[in-house]
Amino acid sequence: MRPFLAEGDPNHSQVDTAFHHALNADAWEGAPVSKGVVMIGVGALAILIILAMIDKRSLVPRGLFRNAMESIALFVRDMTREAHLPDRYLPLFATFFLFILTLNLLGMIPIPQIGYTATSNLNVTGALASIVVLVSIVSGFAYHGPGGFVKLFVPSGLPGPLPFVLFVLEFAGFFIKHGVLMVRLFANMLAGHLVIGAFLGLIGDMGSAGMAALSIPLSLFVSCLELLVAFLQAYVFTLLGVLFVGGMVHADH
Amino acid sequence: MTSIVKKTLRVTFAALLLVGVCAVPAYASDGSIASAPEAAAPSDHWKPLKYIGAGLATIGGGYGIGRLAAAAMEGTARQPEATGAIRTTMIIAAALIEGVAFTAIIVCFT
Repeated sequence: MRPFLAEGDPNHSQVDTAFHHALNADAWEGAPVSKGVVMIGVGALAILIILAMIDKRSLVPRGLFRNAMESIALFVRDMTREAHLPDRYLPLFATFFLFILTLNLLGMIPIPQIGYTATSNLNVTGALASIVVLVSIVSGFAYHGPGGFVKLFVPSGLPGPLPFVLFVLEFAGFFIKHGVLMVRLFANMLAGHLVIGAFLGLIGDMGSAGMAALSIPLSLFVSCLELLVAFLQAYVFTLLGVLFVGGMVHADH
Repeated sequence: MTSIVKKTLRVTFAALLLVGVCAVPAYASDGSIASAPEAAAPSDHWKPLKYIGAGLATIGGGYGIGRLAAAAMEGTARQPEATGAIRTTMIIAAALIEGVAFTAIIVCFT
C-alpha cells in the first residue's frame, strides 16, 4: 500500500518530499535560481535585519534580544582574543558565526517551497572555507612578507633537504586543513537531514500508520540532535577559522 | 516613525539591493538544476565496497570519540573543578575527529 502523497504527482517523487531539505532544486517551477540561492539570501537578510535592531544609543543592552546579541559578540571576541588575533578580524569571524548559525537554523524550519539547508551544499561551505583560505594567505603575506610566509611553513634549523620536503607537506596540509573545514560543515549538515529524510521515507516505503508512529518520534529526536549540531558546527567552524588565521598571523616556529 | 523603524527599513532596503546585485550571477545560470532526474545510474560494481568502506570509517570515528569521552570523564572525575575546560576541549576534539570520519565517508561515496 503506497501513501497518497506519491500518487498522481508526476513531478515530485516521494524521495524528493522526504529529503527536500537536503536536495537542492529550483526554488519554484521554472525559477531562475535554486533553493540554495534563495536560502542564502533569506539568511543574509535575516542577519541584516537583526543587526539593524541593535540600539547604538546606549552601551548597556536592555532586554532579551540585545543581551543575546551582546553575549554572541562577546563570545566571538573572546575567541579571537584567546588566539591573540587583532580586533580587525572580529567582524569577519562574527559574520562567519552568525551566518553559519543562521543558515543551519533556517534549514530546520519547514518553509513550504524554498526550505533548504544552505550549508548542506558543498558550494556554500566551499565558498566560506575559501574566504578563510584567502584571509589566511593574505594575513600571512601582510604580517610576514613573502619570505616570512614561506618560513611559516618550515621550522628553523633543519638539516639538508628536509626544509623542502617539510614545506611541500605543510603547504599541502594547509589546503587540506581548509578543505576538511569545508567538508566537516557540509557533511554534518547533510548527514542530519539525510537521516531525517531516511526515517520519513520509511513511512512511504512501509505505507502503514504504525511505521509513521515509529518514524516521526525518531525523526523528531534526530531533529533535536540536528539543532545541537547546528550550534556546534557554527562554533567549530569559527573556532578553527580563528586558529588557522591565528597560526598565519603569529609565527610560532 | 521612530528612528529604529526607519533604521530597520533603511537596512532592509540596502540588504535587498545587495541581494539583488549579488544574485545577478545566479540568473546567468540556465536554471535547470533539477532537470536530469531521469539520468539512469550505470551499474556500479564497487557499490558494496563503498558501503563497507563507509562502515569502517564510522567504526574508526566511533572508537576515537569513545576513547575521547572516556578520557574526558576520567579527567572530570579526578578534578571536578576543571569540568568546564575539559568539556570545551572534548567538544572541539570530537568535532575534529568527526570531521575526519565524515571526510572518509564522503570520499567513499564519490
